[in-house]
Amino acid sequence: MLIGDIMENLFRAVGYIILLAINIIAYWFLHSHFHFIVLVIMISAPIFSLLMALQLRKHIQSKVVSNCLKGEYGMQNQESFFLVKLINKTLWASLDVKLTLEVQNEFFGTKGDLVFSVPIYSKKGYELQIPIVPELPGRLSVTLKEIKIKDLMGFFFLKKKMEEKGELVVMPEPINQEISDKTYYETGMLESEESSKKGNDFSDVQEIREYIPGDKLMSIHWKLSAKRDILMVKDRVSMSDKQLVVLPELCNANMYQLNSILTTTYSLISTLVKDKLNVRLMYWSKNRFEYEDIRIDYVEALNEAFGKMFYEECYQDMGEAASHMPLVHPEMKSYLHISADGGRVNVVVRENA
Amino acid sequence: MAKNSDKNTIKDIELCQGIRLSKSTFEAKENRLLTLLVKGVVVYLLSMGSIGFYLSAFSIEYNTFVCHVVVLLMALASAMLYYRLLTENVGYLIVLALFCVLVYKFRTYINSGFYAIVNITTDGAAQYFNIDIQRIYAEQIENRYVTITFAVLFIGVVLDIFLNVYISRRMQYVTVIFCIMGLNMVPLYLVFEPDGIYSIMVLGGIALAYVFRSGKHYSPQVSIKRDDIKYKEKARKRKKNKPVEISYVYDAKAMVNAGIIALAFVVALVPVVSAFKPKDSFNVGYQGNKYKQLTMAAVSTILMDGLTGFFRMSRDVGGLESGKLGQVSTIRLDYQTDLVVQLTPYTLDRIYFKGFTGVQYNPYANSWTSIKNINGINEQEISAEAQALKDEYLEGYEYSAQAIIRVNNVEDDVIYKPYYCYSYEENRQFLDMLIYPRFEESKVLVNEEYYEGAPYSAADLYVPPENIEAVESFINQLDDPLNNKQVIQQVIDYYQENYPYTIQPGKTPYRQDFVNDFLMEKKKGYCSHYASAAVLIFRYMGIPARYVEGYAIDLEQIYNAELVEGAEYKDYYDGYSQLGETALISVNVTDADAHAWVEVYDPVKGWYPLEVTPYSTTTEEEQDDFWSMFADMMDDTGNTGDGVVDNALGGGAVINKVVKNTVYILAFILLLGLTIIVLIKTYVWLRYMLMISRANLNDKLIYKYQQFCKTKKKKDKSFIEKINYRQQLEYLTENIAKEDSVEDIEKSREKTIAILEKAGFSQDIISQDEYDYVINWCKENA
Repeated sequence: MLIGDIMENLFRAVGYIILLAINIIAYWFLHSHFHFIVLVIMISAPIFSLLMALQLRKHIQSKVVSNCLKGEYGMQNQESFFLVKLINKTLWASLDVKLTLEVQNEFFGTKGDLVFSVPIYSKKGYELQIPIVPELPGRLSVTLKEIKIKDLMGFFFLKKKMEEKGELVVMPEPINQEISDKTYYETGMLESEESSKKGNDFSDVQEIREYIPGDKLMSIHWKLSAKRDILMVKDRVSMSDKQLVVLPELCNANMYQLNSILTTTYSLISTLVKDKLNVRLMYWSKNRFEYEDIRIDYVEALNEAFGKMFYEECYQDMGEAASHMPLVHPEMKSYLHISADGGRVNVVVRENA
Repeated sequence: MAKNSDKNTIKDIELCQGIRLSKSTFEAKENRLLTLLVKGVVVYLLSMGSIGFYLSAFSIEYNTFVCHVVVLLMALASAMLYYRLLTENVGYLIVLALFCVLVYKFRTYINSGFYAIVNITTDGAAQYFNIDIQRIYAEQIENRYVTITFAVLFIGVVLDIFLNVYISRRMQYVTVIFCIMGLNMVPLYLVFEPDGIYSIMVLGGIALAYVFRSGKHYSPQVSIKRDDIKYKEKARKRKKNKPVEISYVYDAKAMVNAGIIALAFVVALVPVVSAFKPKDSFNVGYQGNKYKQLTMAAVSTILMDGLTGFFRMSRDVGGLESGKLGQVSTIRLDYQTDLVVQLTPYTLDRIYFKGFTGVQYNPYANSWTSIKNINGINEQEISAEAQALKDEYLEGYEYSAQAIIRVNNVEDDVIYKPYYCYSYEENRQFLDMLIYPRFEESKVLVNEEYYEGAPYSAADLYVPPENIEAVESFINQLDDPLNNKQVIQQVIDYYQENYPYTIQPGKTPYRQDFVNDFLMEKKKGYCSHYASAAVLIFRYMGIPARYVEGYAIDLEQIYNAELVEGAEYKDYYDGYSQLGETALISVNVTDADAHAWVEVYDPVKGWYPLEVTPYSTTTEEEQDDFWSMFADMMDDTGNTGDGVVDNALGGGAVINKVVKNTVYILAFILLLGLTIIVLIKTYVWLRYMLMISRANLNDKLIYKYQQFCKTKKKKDKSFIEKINYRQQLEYLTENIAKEDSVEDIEKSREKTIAILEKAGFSQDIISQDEYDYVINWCKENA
């Protein structure tokens, strides 16, 4: 219990004792029936209050549920709601119940404490809605560690361990098209010349031609168009018959790098899935010491896959996922490896050799 | 806190890396209305409970229903004042103004109610201390039920406003306890217990305040403001490992829940305790606290004499002070023995002991100047009447007698002589008065020969000019008397019928004459009033008269007196006695026996005492119920409740008064309403002006344009549908387009729209010319 609370309760108790003493003196002096009643009330009230709080502590139950507004998953940088339900079936109430909550991103391993003071209604309890804004994707949890019930007279705090937990999987915030272009450009994915030089471009550019109405905006080669003062587009080879393996590195050595890897992976697969490409998401499971391989055909499957992935434990070595590939999956020719280096996210097609 | 004090904006709170508590936590609102209502109920329980506590202890009756309803409504209204800062500031002003007006209007009732409560308390104290304390304050209105109701309403409203400050803001139950229980210790000290319901109300109110204070509400850790936000971040020192702590500020539902539990606890416990230890038998067998008994002597002195009782400088003679009149609001008696008189009873009539004879009445100074200072007659010299009666006695006249009356003035040195004292001599602590009583049957003629000079002087017939009008007015009410005897009888009868006796006439108002005030205004009083006025009336009618103060012993006191052992009747009395041979008795004369009467000169009897004070205590008409009094209470003449005045006015006058008062009230309400409207308008205008003065040209233009639109919308309903600048300005130029050049109009309109859009949506500040252009355009096209 915090020192401030102890002092406050102590101060109140001393004040009460002074009032009681004054009443005793008044009763002794006046011998009035009224002061006798006051005396009985003043002596019995703290006992009643304590018994009430004990009863309350005994019967109070709790539940923590996530209450996301948009489907079953939360979204990075968007409000997600956790509902802490205190169920009180007794007649008693309290005006001050301290809920000690632990808010955690279990995938990233970050956590913080939060204390909420709420009342408890008789026969109902209380429902506290906590709006959380996750800045990182992962598995967000709110755990009600303990509650401290203050009696109505304000003399006691009664503790009760609860360990009620509510969880919510938070998806990375997909990068929009404009940013996506830029990012891809920056990472070199859509820079056909750069990709060709490296010889590892999975989406070979067949030719660069002039823009024909009906072409996708994302196919426009903006840089070249700017140079030539005419819209040029990149004509790509159809990849619908190929299956792309995406291997993100779940390295938590740097939280922001991991966030960027996850965001890029999510955005990339999401885009590919929307383009009706078959994608396999593979990641290295540190716990089971093997690859987890999930086929993703649609966005819901992507969310499920990420939800599952967020239960994994991150590792510290950035190249760990790629390093096991030749041994575990020697049949694999190439895959798309997503890693980070400094402030950059590297998305490269890596040959399994 | 999640609030940035500079920008007054709420921000998210970082709980840990990558997780924030959303600012929407602090956007939740509490049910402020219900919260304030709960606070209002607490205030009601405390204020009405404490009033009822006191009044029920003394079994004082009043209209409980009206009082409970009004005090409850006022408590709720007072609590509601804290809804917003504006309602608090303006509301308090309105409440104060309204309160002052109502208090002024009903001041007589409130005053009388207060006096009634104090008097009842005093009676209760007298009962407890077993002392005789008369009512201290004059109640101008006799109907206590009504006046106490008004007083309760007044106290209730004051308490509501006062307690609301402590309850609504900080729930300061300790201050409240000391405020409300301070006065309520009085009945408890006097062993008067309140009704259970009021004990419950007071204790329930305190319990509620205590529980609310002990809960999260009003916690010093949570800063309270006059807004309705539900959660606040607890002020914390920014330490790394210290968790963020959010606390709710108010929760009306929780307050109701906790309040019901606290109230139920009190409601359940009080009857149980009362059943276990009943109130009536609580003090049976209790011997009392010795320390309390030590205080009782002091308290009883205060009750009898007030704080001045500790510093008594003057003697107390039943409101009479050697001719000084009108200084006493109420006759306050201490029932201490002033004189001890030993006599052999000889007459059925009242026996007077004269101590002061006033001859000259001093109008507005309200006093009588003693005979010693006017005529140079020493009151202690042998009177002509005593000489004549002695002569008759010595001659052996049938209805004559000689007696010795022994008087011991234990209080001071003034000599009080019975009629008709011939001489006196000191005998230990007593003065032995030799008297020659005059009986009704006596035919003794006291002719002028017995007097050294004239039997009376011009002063004995003098009526000050200031009193002539009042005296004439009084005499006009009498029938035409034929002789002095009839004059005297008519005055006595008229007093009896129209001037009720009271020991609480109230003080003579400042700069008013005692006799005029009595005859014309108060029309009630005690012996000094009757005697003083009668003297002037008699003088006006040509009968020499004087004002006399002293003591009077009635036959009843003589019957109840103690016998003096070992005394021989013949040593004290000789001659005719209306009671036959009696024994020497001793009478303790207290200030309750102090009296004022009239001495009248009769050519046969000489100067003789005349009783003019009516016997009845009061004949004031009391109205039956609250509502009949209520109908009259608009009367601000201060005579409400006095049937004489109302009857004298007649039915038409009453109707006129009702109409007049109704008009006054309506005018007042109208005036109040207008004042409120003016205040609100002034406030809005001031706020607008303040806003304008601080705004840049862009904002100024938008404000002005909004005002312009507001005015336009009031006049033209179609204008309401136009929602943006373009639509509004196009609508305005529709009609004038026919008269002027369309191009010019469109051009000016487009320019106006452009300026307005620039002012409204752009960061660029418009120029003064642009501002003026739009203002002028609006004026022209209005």
